[in-house]
Amino acid sequence: MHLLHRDELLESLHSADPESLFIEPLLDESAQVGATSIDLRLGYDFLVSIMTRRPSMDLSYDDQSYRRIGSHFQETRRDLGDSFVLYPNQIVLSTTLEYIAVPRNTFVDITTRSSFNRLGIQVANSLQPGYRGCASLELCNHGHTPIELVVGSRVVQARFYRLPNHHEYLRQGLPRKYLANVRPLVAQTDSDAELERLSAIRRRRDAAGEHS
Amino acid sequence: MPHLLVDTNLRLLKSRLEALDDNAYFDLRITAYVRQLRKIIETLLSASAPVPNQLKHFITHQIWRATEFIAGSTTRLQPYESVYGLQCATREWLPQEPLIVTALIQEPNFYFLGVNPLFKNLASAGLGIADEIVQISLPEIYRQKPLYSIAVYHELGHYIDTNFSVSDTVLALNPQLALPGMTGPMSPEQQLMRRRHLREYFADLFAACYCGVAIKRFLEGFAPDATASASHPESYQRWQVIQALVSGTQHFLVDAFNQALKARRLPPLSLRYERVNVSQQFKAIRPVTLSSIKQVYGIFDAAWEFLDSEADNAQDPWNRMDPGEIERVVNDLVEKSIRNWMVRERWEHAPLTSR
Amino acid sequence: MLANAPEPLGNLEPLRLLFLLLRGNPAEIPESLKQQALAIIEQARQIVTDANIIDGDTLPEAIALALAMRSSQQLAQDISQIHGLDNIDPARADRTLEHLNAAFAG
Repeated sequence: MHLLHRDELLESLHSADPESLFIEPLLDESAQVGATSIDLRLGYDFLVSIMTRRPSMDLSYDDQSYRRIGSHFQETRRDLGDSFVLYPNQIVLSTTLEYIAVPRNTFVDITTRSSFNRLGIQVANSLQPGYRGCASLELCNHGHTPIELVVGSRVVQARFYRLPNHHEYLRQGLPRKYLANVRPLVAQTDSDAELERLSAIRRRRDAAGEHS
Repeated sequence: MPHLLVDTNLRLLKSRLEALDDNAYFDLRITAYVRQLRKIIETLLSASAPVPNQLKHFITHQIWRATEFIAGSTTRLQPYESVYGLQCATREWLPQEPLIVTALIQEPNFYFLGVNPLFKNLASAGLGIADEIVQISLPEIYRQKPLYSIAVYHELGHYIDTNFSVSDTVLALNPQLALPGMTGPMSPEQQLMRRRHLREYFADLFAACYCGVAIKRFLEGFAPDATASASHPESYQRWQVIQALVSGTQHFLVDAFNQALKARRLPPLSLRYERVNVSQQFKAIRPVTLSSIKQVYGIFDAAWEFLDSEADNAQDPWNRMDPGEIERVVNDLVEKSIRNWMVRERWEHAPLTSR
Repeated sequence: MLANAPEPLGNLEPLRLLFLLLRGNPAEIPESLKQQALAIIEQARQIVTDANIIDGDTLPEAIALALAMRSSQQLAQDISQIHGLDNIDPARADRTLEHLNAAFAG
């Protein structure tokens, strides 16, 4: 894999090829495009984790009284320049302000900028070749002090790696859970087909009277 | 005691408004509006200036309706992308930019509510609001669907009509005006129907000025093949009039409205959007970079056309998505295209001071 | 279907309330409402005579009243006889209100 540098990033960004790198809105190209990365900004939509009556978030959906994962989050919006308070140990889902279209021969790594790392916020995400959408930011404050983030501030940096081959992001019969999303989405684990298989394995085992 | 209920209602509304005031708003003008309403209630409840009961009822009703809209606008779930264009559109029609308050409702309908002229008039006595306020409600399930929220432009058309009596002016200047499908002398009931239908035609045309044929496409899905009712014309007639405006074909109704608008010193009905080529970007599943407010309006028409064509005959990579996904992605791309424009506008026009 | 939600008399609420209050205690009617109602009535009469006087300053309520007067002779007669609010007794206010409501009944 080849880490793209500034000239290559700019060339791809400025290309008219619909398969090139697309980041919009790129509000300050000179400040955001660095030597080997592009800074991305905090978006304006948030899903905030909330306490519910359930003792746990069940991902197996076997339970009779299964509650959607989304019921453990509350939606809220802000505008550019507004602040959003991230409390200690609270999970908040957001996205980048920018919509990103990743070329099919490129892989992207997203990490927190060091200023935010030092405050106890860590984000780690990656985007597959061909990805489309506002990149998900799973925010958690590992410190002891609430932090006021500002919508539109540069919070993460993305590194772009060129791959030797093209890869199809959308393949027939294999739907993508987070295609072209422009707002945060809760985990779509309950649509993981393998969970159904694992539940079936457990039910069969229970029916056969096998217990670990 | 009948008077007790109206006072009780006022006290309950005051509590509700206090609770709403505790929320922070995107628009500080909503905060100011809430505080004005609270002040009116305090004046009404004070014994110093007794107000006739009928007037109190009227004012209470105004405040109650306003509270409904404000409550719907405080959930921080506002469809800003859908309402942004409305705010820009009003600058052309109104002497001062109004406060647009949007409520999300559970009904399959869209409403508008302006400030009643009496309520405006009572502002000088501290019992009303003088500001221009437009209250619009739309279905909550459409809040992330800008293509389905374009009916808010139709509602803004009603607001403009009511504010300036546009369709009434048409009838004042053309007393014998016969609408499509209406012939011969009219009974009082038919005259009333004519008045209501005329309002709907105006609202449709107003929306078409900004959204083009998209408003027709939406209405065809929302209320297909509707026959004429006491309040609304037959759908087919509505499409004909919209089509005439969009295609630049002469139509007596468009002429009549423009005659009235000219008399009222208002802008004419004319297309205010610019066609945007969304195909190239949408095919690549990217939002469009819009370059003017006319293009912000124009994206609705173009996106509807794209949606209809992909729904019928999807090209790669859209043919790898199911129809529900296609619709969702197109609406999201429209939303993001508009929001990106809004963000850029704010970024580039932010007043900077040295620190 | 798309629907708007104005008050039943829409722009004519000031007049409706005025006549309602004239049935009761006229002394309680706010001065601003009286002035507004008289201005509406005066302009409406002019519009009925010649609609071409409508311009950018014409009160929307006056246009609405003019239309109502055209559709109801009784209302037109009531309004044409109003030249101030002091000589409107409760019975007359009641009658005018009835004709006003009837003009908008659907």
